[in-house]
Amino acid sequence: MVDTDDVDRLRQLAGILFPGDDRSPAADSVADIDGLIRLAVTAIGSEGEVLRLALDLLPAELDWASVKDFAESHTNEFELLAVVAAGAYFMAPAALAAIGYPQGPRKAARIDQIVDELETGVLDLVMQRESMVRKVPV
Amino acid sequence: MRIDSGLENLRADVLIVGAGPSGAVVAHTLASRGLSVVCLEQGDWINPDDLPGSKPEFELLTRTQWHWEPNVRRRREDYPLEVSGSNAPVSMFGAVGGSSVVYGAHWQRLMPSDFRVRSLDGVADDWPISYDDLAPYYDRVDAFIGVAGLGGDPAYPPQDFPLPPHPMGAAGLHMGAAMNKLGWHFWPGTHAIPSTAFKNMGQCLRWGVCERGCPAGAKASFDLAYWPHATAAGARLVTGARVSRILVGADGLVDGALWIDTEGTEHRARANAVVVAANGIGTPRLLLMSDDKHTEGLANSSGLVGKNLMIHPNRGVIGVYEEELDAWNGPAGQLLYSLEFYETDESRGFVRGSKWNLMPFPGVLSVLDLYRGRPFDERWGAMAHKLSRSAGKVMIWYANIDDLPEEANTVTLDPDLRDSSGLAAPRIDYTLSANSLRNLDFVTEKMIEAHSAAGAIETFLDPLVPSGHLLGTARMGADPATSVVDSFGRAHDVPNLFVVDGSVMVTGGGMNPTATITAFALRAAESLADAASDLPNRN
Ligand SMILES: Cc1cc2nc3c(=O)[nH]c(=O)nc-3n(C[C@H](O)[C@H](O)[C@H](O)COP(=O)(O)OP(=O)(O)OC[C@H]3O[C@@H](n4cnc5c(N)ncnc54)[C@H](O)[C@@H]3O)c2cc1C
Repeated sequence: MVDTDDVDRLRQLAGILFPGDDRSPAADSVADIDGLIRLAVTAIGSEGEVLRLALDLLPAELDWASVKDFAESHTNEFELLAVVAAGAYFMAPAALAAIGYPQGPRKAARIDQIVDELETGVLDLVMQRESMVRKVPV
Repeated sequence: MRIDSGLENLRADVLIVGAGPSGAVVAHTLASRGLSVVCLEQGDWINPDDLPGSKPEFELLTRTQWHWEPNVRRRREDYPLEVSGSNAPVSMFGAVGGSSVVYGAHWQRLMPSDFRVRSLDGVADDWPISYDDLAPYYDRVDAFIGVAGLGGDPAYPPQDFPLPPHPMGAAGLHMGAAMNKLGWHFWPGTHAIPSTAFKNMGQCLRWGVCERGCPAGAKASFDLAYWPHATAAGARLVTGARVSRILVGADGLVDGALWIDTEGTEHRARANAVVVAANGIGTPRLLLMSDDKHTEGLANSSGLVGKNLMIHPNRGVIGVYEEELDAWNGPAGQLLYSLEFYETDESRGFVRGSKWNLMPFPGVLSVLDLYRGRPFDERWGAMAHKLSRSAGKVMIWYANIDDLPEEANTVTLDPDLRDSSGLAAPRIDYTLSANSLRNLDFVTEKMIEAHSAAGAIETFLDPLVPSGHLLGTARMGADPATSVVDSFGRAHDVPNLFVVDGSVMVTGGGMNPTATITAFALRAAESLADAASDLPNRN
């Protein structure tokens, strides 16, 4: 669906949208960003046709100002490119780790976690309420 | 040469159309009572490995392939919906398990008052059955599928659950404290999601993506919770089988159905009775397609097939917080629910009310999307990194509102749009009533108030979420002039035809409906089994 040039341009775009800061890496430098971009493009499925159009409309020279102009003049096309760029970036383990987002398998809750929660007394006021059930004619 | 797969001449005591929760319950119940049962389902089994929720690209997959709306997914297994005449979106999923594959598994009974809306509030109609009639069936389905919840909620008549409740989590505790400040009711969520391993289902792993299919096999979607038991009891399930017409014999009773396989070949199935379990849109569609003598459709002397569509218009208010709320932790599911505004209070300017549920907000893209309306410089670059750190600090209140039945809200057959088998697609005409609009405005304000009491730094509106609660289009009642089926789902006009899904509901209440739909289906199936010897013999 996308060729190497397209991936190059999506990587550049991702780098502009997510340039990195003191905690998060820049999108164009995270490991295997090209593979993640390809995965993101596959995942959007039938939106691929719009993506092609959007890539064709994207300015040749990509920098903050040209991307901003593009976002303002071609909102729908930009939004789709941005979602592919952001989707690829937030599949990168380093990007997720930087914002504390969990990765990999999940764990079940402790079965007695609810007991601890109820012991905080959070439900006491509600439990003290009279029945709220509305009487119905028999 | 065509290999006979045994599908050419299907014969059964009872033919069921649709393998969602209602069809599954009927199949299991009848097969367990020794009846021969065939269920025809247009969709297929969903392979848990295909579900998107545990994949790194899951949020992207939900944009098209796993979108809630069939018109966006465009799978063969669903039919398209003509919705240009509807100002509230709807959703459904065609598969073994039906929409329960993607449901949130919030498991709520109706209230006693929901069955008596005419007597109490002077609107719509009372049901021909009461809460007490359904209560034993609620209990039995709960026990069968392993509902997890906490008894003792003062908003409900006494009830208890077979499995312990899920934790409320950081978000639930935080919001619970705010609800206490406001003096508003809330309760830990009740779920058709096992909190400990139960039968063939695992313990919830809190992926938080229940509404995209559980990747851990830990949700009572009915492909898991019921179908394996139904087939073990002897029910036969045929997938990729789209029913195009219910057939009527010379005696005016049904004698089976025509169905179309995935290659487009038409087949005939014979049965002594037909049970339609195709949901509040698929059921009227099929009844309307099933009569070639009259344009009004089968079992429609009342003229009410396809009328009174109710969908529980669903509004969300999202709150973004400074605190870490572990917003990726499920079940989603409902961390809490609130019935503070469930019953009518006329001082609010509308009748009936809403059921709220607090849900986690997993994903990073969904958080970034909240800021879509902002100018470029306030969304991207350094700002994008800052905004992405809100992932985990977001929670959402949703409210299902009790929209009342209106004859003008309809399911009809679209003259132009066709499904992949060439059958007329349903056309939905639905207009939010003045009562519903006032209710929506009211709950929006109140949900914002709850978020502010909890210290949200920003709130966002999710105006109307596609609703999978499809109700009212073949309503039950005692009088054949004003209802389609009786209180056991038997069509007044055609005594060996049954409807067992949400179409039969007279009013919708505000609760997520599947507990009620399945309790009703169990009650209807047992009554059908009791009367099986009276059915005509078509075999
Ligand atoms: C995103 C989402 C979230 C939801 N969350 C909740 C929740 O948290 N709690 C709750 O209580 N409810 C929830 N619901 C609603 C719930 O899923 C439905 O109430 C429930 O699935 C209804 O069961 P059913 O068997 O009556 O219909 P369905 O589940 O819709 O099943 C009907 C089946 O019939 C099949 N069918 C239709 N027409 C034909 C035909 N002509 N031939 C052959 N097969 C046909 C369909 O393919 C489908 O599989 C949700 C729904 C959605 C979409």
